[in-house]
Amino acid sequence: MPGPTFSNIAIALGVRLGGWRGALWGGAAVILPGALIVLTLAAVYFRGGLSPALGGAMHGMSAAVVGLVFATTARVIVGSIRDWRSPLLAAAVFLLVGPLHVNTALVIALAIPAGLWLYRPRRPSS
Amino acid sequence: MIADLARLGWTFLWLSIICVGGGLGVVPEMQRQVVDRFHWLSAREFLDGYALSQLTPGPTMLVVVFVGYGAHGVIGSLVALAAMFLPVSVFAALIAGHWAALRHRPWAIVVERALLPVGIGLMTAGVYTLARSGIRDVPAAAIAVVAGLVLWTGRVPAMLVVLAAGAVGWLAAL
Repeated sequence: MPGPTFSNIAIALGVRLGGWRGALWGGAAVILPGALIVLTLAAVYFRGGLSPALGGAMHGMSAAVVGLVFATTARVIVGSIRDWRSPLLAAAVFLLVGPLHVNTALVIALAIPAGLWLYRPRRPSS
Repeated sequence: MIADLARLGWTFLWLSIICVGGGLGVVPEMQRQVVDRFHWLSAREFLDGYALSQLTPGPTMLVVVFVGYGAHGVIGSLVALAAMFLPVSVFAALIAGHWAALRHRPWAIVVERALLPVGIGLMTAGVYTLARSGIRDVPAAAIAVVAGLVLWTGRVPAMLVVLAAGAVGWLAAL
């Protein structure tokens, strides 16, 4: 399912609980409060409100977030490797999108058919 | 200004469609569009915005509010928010009722298996992109390693670790 995962879950739950109105409230409840907070933070940030000390705090937090996303990703990787096919496909996608700077939409358009082919159902031989 | 707002909306609309690996997976492409192509933010500002939206309850992709604000103030953030969340939310609501019934079909299992490694590759590229702009010196690398190890244990809430790192950076800059 495309789209930001977290809000999709809230919307899917909302649909199940209350139809379209549930989806609307589910989505809004998850997105809007955070959006207001980010808006406020952005306003402070771009008004030049960053003193050297706050800039230092920002550097520290950004570095920690890099560690955070690394730990999250590592956990997903450890939990999902079952055979040789998934590391191969994941590594190819990483190389193309990351260091090689290939357009992500193009990489997805190539990688999904490749993945479907790698995981195609096989009839038992014999 | 109107033309650039349209570019902002269009960019986040197609970025929302390629969110296969969750928010993190789209970070490399978002940085290329926002920083390298349209120059709405610097790489540093983009990373700081990503960090701030991680601190905020709600989806990581709220970083688009930050980007929109940096580009065109409050109107920019509204356009970015609507483009990122509205169309895919409608799509999610449309298929939410059906997916539970479809997901046990053989082809759905193949699709899920095929998408998982693609998502992982995209997430890894997201980590790479953030690390390239966030880890510029030894102290930053040290903070990232310590934060990563602490979070790997899963005992401390992520927000607490990020705030503690902010306190360290604040004290170091005094």
